[in-house]
Amino acid sequence: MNGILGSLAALFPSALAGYALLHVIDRKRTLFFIEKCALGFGLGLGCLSWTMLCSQLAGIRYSLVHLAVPLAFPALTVAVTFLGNLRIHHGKFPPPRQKLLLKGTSLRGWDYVLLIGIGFEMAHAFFRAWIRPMEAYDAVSNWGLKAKAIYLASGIPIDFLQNPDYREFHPDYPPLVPLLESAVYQFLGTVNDTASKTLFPLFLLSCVTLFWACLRRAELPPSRALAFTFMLSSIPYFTSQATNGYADGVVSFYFGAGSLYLYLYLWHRSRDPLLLVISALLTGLATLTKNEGILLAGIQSLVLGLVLASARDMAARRSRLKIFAAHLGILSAILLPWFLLRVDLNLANDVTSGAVLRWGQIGRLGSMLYFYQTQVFGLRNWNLVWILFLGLLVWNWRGWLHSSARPLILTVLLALVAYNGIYMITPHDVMWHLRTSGSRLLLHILPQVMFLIALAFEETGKKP
Amino acid sequence: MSNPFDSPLRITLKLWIVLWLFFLLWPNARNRELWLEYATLFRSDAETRRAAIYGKDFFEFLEFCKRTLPVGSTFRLVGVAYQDIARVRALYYLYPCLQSESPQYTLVYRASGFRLEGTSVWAALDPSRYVLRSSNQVTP
Repeated sequence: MNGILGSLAALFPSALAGYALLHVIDRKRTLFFIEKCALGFGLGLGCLSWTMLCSQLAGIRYSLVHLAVPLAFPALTVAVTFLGNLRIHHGKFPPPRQKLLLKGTSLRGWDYVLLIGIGFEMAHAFFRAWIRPMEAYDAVSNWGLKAKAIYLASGIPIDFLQNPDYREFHPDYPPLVPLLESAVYQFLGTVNDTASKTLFPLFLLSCVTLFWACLRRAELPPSRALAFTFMLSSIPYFTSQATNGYADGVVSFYFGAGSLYLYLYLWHRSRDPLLLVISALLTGLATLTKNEGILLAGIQSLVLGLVLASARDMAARRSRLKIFAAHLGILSAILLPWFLLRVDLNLANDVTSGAVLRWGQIGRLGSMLYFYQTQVFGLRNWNLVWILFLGLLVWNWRGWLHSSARPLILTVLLALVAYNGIYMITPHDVMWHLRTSGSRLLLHILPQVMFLIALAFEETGKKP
Repeated sequence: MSNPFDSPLRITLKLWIVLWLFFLLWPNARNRELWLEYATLFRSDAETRRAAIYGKDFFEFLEFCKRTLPVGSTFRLVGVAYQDIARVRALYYLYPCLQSESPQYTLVYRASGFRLEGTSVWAALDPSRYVLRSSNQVTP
């Protein structure tokens, strides 16, 4: 119990720093309090791991004092902003624009049922994460082992990453999760993997919160937003993967929220740059979480580029070029320290470095289709989500093609194409590779898929 | 007051909740072992939980190895298959001792009578769980 409380205490300052950072950049008070808490958690923790990577490059060893240094920046900026605001508004902060999310949120019968359902799923996820030590395959071999090594070495142990006897554990995988786990150990002063698992249900909770906030921003009525949030949080595979120490739930959070905020940025007429910055920051942090995050960030940049390129007048196109450059700049800045370290250590990926491309591999499509039908009809793991998505894709494709959701659909479809492209060229047995990773990769696009379903139902509901 | 859920959403939501409850309750309600495991884990401390999850017999061996091996030494695990999750759990648990192709110690788990040329029994938990030490290696 002490370890769990300690882990919450360890993560709280970073989350607070993230919140403070958002408070500073959200000058128009666009963000809702709960939304800012969830975003602050993800951005604060991402900021912590990024700073740890930069320190690694600078040759600074990790220590508790050192981990507290990044907190000084947001604390200082908040203090400055606070004083600035006092001066400008004569003792009053600009009023938060919370109406968007709070308007019409008086709860009714069904809403209570859905809220209880969401609450139960979240509590269940925390319980399952805390009741078992770290024990799942990738949780111990990829993330947990690295976290332990980082903590014991007070830095990323280069010799460990280059040890040929540990090459099977993917030294090239980005280190956001092990860095955060090691930060918890640093705070606790010991390796306590049950405590570090607190991270994962917290990411789940934040993901669900942001999903709801984004639905409200997309102007779904409160009850409907709650209904789809319940549907997302009650997908058994989604919640169970937030309890076992795997990093896929973390990618779902970063890339899922990154895509949704990008959609909201493109959809809102005001084109609030804050939403674009949040999207870029979140997607950038997905690149530090898993290699797939780099691919997904590339897809998101491509989608943004395509949308911006479709601007007709040249003046707008020039300003959109700046927007694209800013997006790409944020992504690159976040990825840069890990990229430099990875290049310096010459860490290769087993899939891409051993990729095979032969015509005969087209036969893999059969295995892949077989695997995907097990997922689509795997009601026990996914409930109705894939059936609904495919059904709507077939039934509503015209609607989606002409809707504002096109960038989001394109993101989902390109991610599916890219992942399947990798299965086509993987040097491993494709069925083994699919069995061990396929369902987890679907998690990376799950929030977006559920969001698209919600939008499609909203359109259906509006029809006379 | 109008119903916030139109017909397609209402039907979908009802079906969703039925499936959610079914897959939540049906397998768990019948699974007595799961409830017993939860009850045991809930009452236990961290190491007892690890023993329950890793397997008591194997965890006892891992604890023995951790006590026995010098910090930072290299080892190889015999008696556990390469793809077995027990192997990665052992590598995780025993770190900072490192697995190696040319190890200082060979950890023998449930492989009675296993011997390796140039090694001798260094420590034994029981006749089928023991540690061999290479005579060519210098202990750090």
